Amino acid sequence: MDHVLELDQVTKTFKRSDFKLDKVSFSVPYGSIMGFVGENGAGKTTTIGCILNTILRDSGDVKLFGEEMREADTDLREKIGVVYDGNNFPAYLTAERLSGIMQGVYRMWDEPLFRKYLEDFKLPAGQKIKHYSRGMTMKLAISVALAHHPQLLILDEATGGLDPVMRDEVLDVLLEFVQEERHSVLLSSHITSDLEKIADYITFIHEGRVIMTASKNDLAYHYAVMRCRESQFKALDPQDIIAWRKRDLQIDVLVADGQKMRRRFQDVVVDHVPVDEIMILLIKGEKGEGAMLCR
Amino acid sequence: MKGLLRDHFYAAYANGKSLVRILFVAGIAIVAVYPKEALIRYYMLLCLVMISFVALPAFGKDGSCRWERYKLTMPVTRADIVRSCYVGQFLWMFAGILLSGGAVVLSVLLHGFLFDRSTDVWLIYVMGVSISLFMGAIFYPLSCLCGEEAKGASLVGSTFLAVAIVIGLAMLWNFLFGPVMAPAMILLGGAVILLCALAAYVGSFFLTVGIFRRKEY
Repeated sequence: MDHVLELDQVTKTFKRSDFKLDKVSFSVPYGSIMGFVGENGAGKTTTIGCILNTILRDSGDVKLFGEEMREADTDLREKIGVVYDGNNFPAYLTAERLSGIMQGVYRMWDEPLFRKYLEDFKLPAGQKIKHYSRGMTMKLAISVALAHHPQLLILDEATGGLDPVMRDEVLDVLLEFVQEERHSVLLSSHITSDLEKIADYITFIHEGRVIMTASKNDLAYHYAVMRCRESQFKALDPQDIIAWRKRDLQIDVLVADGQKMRRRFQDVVVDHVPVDEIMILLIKGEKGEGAMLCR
Repeated sequence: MKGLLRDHFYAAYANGKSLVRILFVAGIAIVAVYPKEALIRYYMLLCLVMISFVALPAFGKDGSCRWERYKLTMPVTRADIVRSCYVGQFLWMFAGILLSGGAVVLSVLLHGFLFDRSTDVWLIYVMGVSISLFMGAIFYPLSCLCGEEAKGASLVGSTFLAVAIVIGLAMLWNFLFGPVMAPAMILLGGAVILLCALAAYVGSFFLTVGIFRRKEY
């Protein structure tokens, strides 16, 4: 499979805060949406910083479009659109002036397309960005990111703080973007419901480490949580246990193949659960031997 | 580069449009109402130095939003970003030269040549431009090192240092060739000070690029 983005053993240590991005590895295939999920402070923004060279990694490789992106590789950055959480652009600019700046930076800047996005999103071109609402600034950021015809979109917590209607609009834009075969999206978020809606793959990160990468279909239709009693838990093959967590009257066990577990343990409740419950089990639960097989 | 220069212009303009308007009105007022040689001299110096107060803080302006980080994701190098600030400040300084030059021309047209010596205008420009260049040469690497929080202190500090350096160079020239100098020596002294300022400005660019390349957002 062809990958637009490949991270291999990326490591970054911040001495002051003692936080470490520890051998992060994952890949984003062409034509897909990769959800990058983790709790606050897990390392999502740091990872994206290492991808985009706004943070200088200590070791490891990052390849974009099959090449290592160095500071001088401006051609590669032409193909990337970025959206950060919050205010991406200075408050004193207007959309018009911003377009003037981008026109002088991006070779493929498409002014008519940008104007079309402004119209579709109902963004006033002559109004200063400081007067925009949060939703409007996000739509402006997406318009700018799309208007230079990128192949890869990287969004860092871009839907946080938006109301459900606005989030839905943004997600629709991303789905439309990946209709093109060679277009891909890396969407980092802690809002798992957004990723469940549109992501093809989901990578979980916790305390600077990737704990699992799986396709969304696998997570939705194969991964499951067994609600076991103590004796049933002891009867499980350790290699089947990805993570487990002791509750009051039961032990929740995350397994990769819910159907297989249902056949084998007919007296155990096996539930397909949403991504956020999987995430909580992975983060708060104990690691099983099966965890190594899932990375 | 064009886009980055536009960005620098908008940032500087947002910083100091009121100041530029005040300078413009003050120039007209001084020339029309109170055309004294000393006032025009100070006005010329003020134009050249204050314009730097407009242009310099545009470096890293609005760091509180993601813009400085966002620029690094665009198809520009870090050297391009720094270069746009140096070129931008140079262009603003040129605007200051035009503004003060306009005042001088207007005063000459209305009241005749008010200065004591023909070399005075050249020396005022040399002082003003040199102070402005030394300000930039000190401010940019300092601001890069110390960050957004210390920007105000960096600006004030670089202004005082720049003034001290220019006065120091002038005193050194006077010590070596003064106190009474032929006009050619005065002009040469001004040119030497200006060249020193230009050399510091260019050298400072490479230093700032080196610092900025290691900056993380």
